[in-house]
Amino acid sequence: MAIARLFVANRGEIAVRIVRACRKLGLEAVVGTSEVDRDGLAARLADRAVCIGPAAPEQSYLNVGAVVQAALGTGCDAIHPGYGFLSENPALAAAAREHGLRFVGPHPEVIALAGDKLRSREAAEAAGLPVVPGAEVRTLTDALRFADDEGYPVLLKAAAGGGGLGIKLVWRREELEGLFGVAFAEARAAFGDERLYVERFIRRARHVEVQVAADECGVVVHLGERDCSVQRRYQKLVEETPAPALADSTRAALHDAAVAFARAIGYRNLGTVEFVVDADSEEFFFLEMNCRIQVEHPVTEAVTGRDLVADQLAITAGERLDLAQEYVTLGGHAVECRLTAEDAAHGFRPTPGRITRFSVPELPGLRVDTHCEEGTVVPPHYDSLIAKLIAHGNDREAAIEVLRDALDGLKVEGVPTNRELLAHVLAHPDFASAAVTTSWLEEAGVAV
Amino acid sequence: MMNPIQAGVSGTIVEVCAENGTLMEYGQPLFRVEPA
Repeated sequence: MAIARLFVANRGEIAVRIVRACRKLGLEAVVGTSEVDRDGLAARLADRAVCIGPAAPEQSYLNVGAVVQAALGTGCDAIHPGYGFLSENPALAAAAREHGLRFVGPHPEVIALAGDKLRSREAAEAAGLPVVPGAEVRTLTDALRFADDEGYPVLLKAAAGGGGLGIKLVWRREELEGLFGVAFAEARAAFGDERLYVERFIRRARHVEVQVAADECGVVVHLGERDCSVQRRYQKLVEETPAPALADSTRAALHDAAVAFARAIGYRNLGTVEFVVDADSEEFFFLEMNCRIQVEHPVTEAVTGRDLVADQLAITAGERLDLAQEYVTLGGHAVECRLTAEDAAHGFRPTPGRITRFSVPELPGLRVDTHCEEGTVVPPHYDSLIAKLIAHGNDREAAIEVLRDALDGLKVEGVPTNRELLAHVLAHPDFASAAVTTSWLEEAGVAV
Repeated sequence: MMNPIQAGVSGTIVEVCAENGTLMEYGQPLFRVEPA
């Protein structure tokens, strides 16, 4: 059952991260690249790299046929999808299985369930998890009854909507009366589906997620939580573990809820259960489960001392988790920030280009995950992440201190980066006192 | 997996660039065709 050769179906820092894990475990790694990434760091570190398509992701990193064909053609026995791209597409997991390849992730049926908002919400409720109070409404009367009971503001959504489309924030009863008909007509016009959904709006929300690991024998453990409340337009910027300013009872309840959900849906491999926490009441609600390694997994590695990619590969190979919950120990505090090639002066638009200088200071407690070096081209086709800086310290202050020093000594030239914004966040009194919510960056006017 | 591929031009094959059964990467030439 062991994996001898792994196909890495991704790019950038996570492809480098996975290749390095293979090195450590003595596995061969084959990286499937697009044309623009064929000379990248992951391709050079791997035992072999094959070009699977042009730069446009639809024809390369999102092309299930090309990925599976390349994995088979290079004699791999498993595919690691990384994050993004095909990582949560049940079609890749199913195609891999169909061709006798193992997929580093849960079974395709579970990926499909987790990706369906309504079905996963139902599964969460059935497993006893709190979900954001909400209901499908057919008439204005139903919507008013819900909002009067729950209190305003509420969100009015097209049930068939997604990606933030068709969502209205409603502050008062009169507003709901006026907007209901509009939303109804819009839902029909935009989605061909006039069903509306009304939901409680949490004004001061924190994003807290729990890392779980489940082996093929059904053992499920959690590896602590992460707070990812510093976000800009739903993009996480800074993540940390443990989550600050959380009562121990809330923390324990979050861990239990995540494990219960993973058990209930038959989850396998590593995954993350996301919650929204009401910053005022500490009530929490299930959001969704991510069926993949997360960008922010290194903070969990820092405090647990584990290699989560190695854990993923061991589980995929059918090994039992060598880990009982009581042996999971969390030490110190870790904070990660995401360095992106974005132009703050122009609304943080991604700015592709060639990196002419790239150096990160070496500091005790600092880890840097990156695919960038002098001469690396940041192509316009993919997301703009160029490095993750992860600091681990005895406590939160110490970790933040290391990260601030790291940003201070960082030298990146050739493309603009969001370094100033990250430094500003880490130095901000609101961040220091853990008073940050998911809308903080915009509300505090730090970054719009 | 079998992937049928269509030539982008009609004509006569003047060179076969790939051996049967080998793994071809994206962008690698398979045949050279002299357009008719």
